[in-house]
Amino acid sequence: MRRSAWYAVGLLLGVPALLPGQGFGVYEHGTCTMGRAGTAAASPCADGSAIFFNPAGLGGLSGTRISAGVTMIAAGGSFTDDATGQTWDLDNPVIPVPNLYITRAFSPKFTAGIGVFVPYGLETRWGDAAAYDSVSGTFNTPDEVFPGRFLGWNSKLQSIYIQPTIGFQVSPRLQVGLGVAYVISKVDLKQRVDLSEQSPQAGVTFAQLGVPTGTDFAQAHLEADGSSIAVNVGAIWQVNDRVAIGGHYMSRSTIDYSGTATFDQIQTGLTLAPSNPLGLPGGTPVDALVAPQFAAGGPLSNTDATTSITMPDQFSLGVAFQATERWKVLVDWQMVMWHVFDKLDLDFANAATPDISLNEEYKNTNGVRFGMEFAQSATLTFRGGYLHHQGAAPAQTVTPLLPEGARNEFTVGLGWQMSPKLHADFGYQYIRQDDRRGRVFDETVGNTGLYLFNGHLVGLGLSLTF
Amino acid sequence: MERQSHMRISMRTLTAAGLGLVLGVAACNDEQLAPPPGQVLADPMFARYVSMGNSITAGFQSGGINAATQNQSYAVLLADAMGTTFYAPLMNLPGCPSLYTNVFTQTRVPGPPCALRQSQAVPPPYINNVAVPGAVVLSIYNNVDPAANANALTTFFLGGLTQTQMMQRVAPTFVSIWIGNNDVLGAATNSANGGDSALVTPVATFTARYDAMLDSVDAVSPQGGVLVAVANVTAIPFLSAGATYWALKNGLVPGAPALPDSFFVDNNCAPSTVIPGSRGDSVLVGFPYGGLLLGTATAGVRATLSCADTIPQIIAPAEVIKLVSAVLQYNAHIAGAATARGWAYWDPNPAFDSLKTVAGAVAPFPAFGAPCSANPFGTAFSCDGVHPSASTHHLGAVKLREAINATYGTSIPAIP
Repeated sequence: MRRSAWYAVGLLLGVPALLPGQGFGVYEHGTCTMGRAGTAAASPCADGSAIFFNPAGLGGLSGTRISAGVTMIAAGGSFTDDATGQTWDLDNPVIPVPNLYITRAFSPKFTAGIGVFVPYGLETRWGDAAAYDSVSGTFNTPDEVFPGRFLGWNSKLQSIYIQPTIGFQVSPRLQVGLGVAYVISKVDLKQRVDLSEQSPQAGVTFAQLGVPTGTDFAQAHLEADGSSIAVNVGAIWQVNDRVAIGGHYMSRSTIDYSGTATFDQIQTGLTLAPSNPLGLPGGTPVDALVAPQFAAGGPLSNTDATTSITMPDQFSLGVAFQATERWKVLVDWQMVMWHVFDKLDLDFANAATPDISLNEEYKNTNGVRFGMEFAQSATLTFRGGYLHHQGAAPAQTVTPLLPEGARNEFTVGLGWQMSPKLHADFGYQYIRQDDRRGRVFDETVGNTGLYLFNGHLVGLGLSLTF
Repeated sequence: MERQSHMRISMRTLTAAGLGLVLGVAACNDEQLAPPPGQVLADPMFARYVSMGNSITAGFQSGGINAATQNQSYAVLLADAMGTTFYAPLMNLPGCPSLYTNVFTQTRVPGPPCALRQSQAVPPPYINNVAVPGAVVLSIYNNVDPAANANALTTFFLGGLTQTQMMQRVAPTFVSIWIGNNDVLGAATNSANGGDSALVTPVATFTARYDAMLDSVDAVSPQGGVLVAVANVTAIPFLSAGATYWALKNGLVPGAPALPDSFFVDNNCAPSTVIPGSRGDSVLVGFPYGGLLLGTATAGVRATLSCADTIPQIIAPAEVIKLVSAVLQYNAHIAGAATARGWAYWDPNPAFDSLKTVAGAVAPFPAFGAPCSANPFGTAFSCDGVHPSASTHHLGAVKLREAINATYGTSIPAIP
């Protein structure tokens, strides 16, 4: 099997999703914060989400609180081919991203808690129709077959952070916090393998013998998991009664994944004609020709696989300004160190399956967030915000797995103190990504079309205080 | 009060500053599609055009095919005029096989017997020009049958699909079909037994296969199409009239080079209008056989061309009639099929016949020994005496454009 066939397999494992944050990051870990565009570094919401946004925010948080929330992410997008003008739509399901925070004040100055959130992950799903429909015995039409399925048609990543955290009020003006997260991560990735890219002999591909581009002959499925540790630290300085400055840093986390790569043969519908350049008898089914690839020991036999991905460290710095008794304005700057996602090495236990080393060359990203809150009454708070961030993927790695780019996002939110003990938050976020050129083939082919992406996020959170 | 005023100013300032920042960074930086430059679709009907056929449609010339000749195909020219993206299964140079440099000495452009398919910069999502050299009507939907004339190019172009299967993958909005020439051509060019009627697909078989082929096309519901009639294979410069040999031998063609002294032409090859009872104007001689006799004579060995029925290499009058009759009957069926579908129809024979009135376009007698660069069969045909040259492909594209525009009221622009 040619090395390039594994290129896409490697990509699957490394670049798993289309997400509302930079790169494959997620930033919607609290409905209250989401409503004000994620601004929280200097003044986290009082729902325990400070465990992620700034552990220092736990300092001085009174009582015992249990907060649970979910953000429903409905992503839409498409890829349009330069030459044919054909467009294929993203087929993502609505994806729930949950969060859970429990905090308890052990003294007026010391609060501890634990949070569960997903700062890296999510899913992309494109059409999976193969060129040949073996059920009907016919060939699917161009609008039915997404050309990028050989780089990845369904990619999932979950990196769940379980983070015990403490917050301490050093002085009336200064709070600090520290959390240590246990990271559990799982990847589940599917792609097709294109027969035309394979090599029946050294230096010759099936495409050069006439096999059509986009001939599905195998389904590759990778499942792997791993774990790691990350540290999250933060501080908040209450400059005066109106102004607070805060920041937090969450460390990078290198996860060593181990799992399996399985391959299922897909019918091609190809039958060799007489006098073919392979020298095989006319009428030979191509499926019979490639079947040995899937046998034990063959390059497409099931095998164990390992790799390593580093979830990048991220840093945010923010200012909160209590403009009036009712109005609060917040600004955050965030930086994510995506440069750590520079290369991806993929090792297969099967000696017949070549290992892979892929260049990703992600770039660090900056994001700016603006948020505001308006306390309509003691029980009702309105929120709004806007954020902009850069894209992490360089031009050469904008693919179906993560057609990511710079984004403008707009948010609104509502907080409702339903009772002295129960608080509810609602948030909505619209994502509008810059249209970005990208590819559906090997990197050597380059970008051949345009990716569009947008998203609608709806969040709901409940906090119980007692 | 003063404090409240100050606060209002702060809020106003803050809001203005915030809005300014938002507007500043919110500006979109969209990248754009990069369609092929200058490509404007003439009509939505041509969004995906598939051409089916044989060597002519594929772009076979001078006994070979490569990316250069493929891009000279009438189908490519027509697609360009339609403004539609059109992918051909381009072959590397020098070709598969490479082109003749001298057909009389069987010399070709040096290279391997068959070069591989080109690795195109952007892998084509499908192939629009699905035509394969050697294809008969049956081959359109069956590559495996021995009668389908499958060859290496069948796999190089279609990779295990039939033409109809590749067409299915494209889901064409418009198709052109020029098939059937090879159902009769093999008889005309058979040097061992010219006009061998066993090599002519019987009309009933032809029509049944043609209908089956069209059924497979109908199944994908193209918005339109054009059917092209079978070319009159007796009119190609591969064949010369026996009377032409006779006239040349007898010095009746002013300016023509003399034939070798040891070469003789029987009087039965004279035109019947000159020598009653002779048949030279209704006998056809393939250039390989004629060339063989001339070569023998040039070597000083007596060689005689006879136009008698007993000579298997020539195409006797009765055989010529069979060939022409088959073509006419094929074409009657093809024309009916086009009419039944409301499709365009083009009979290339009048246009090809008109080329005979153009000086140097169609050589009545090959320039034996001349290199391909000298157009030994005339400028309208390539150096195998069978396949159209680039200029004739252009003529075909022009005529097809006219037929399509007339049928559908479309406005495919003129073909440059």
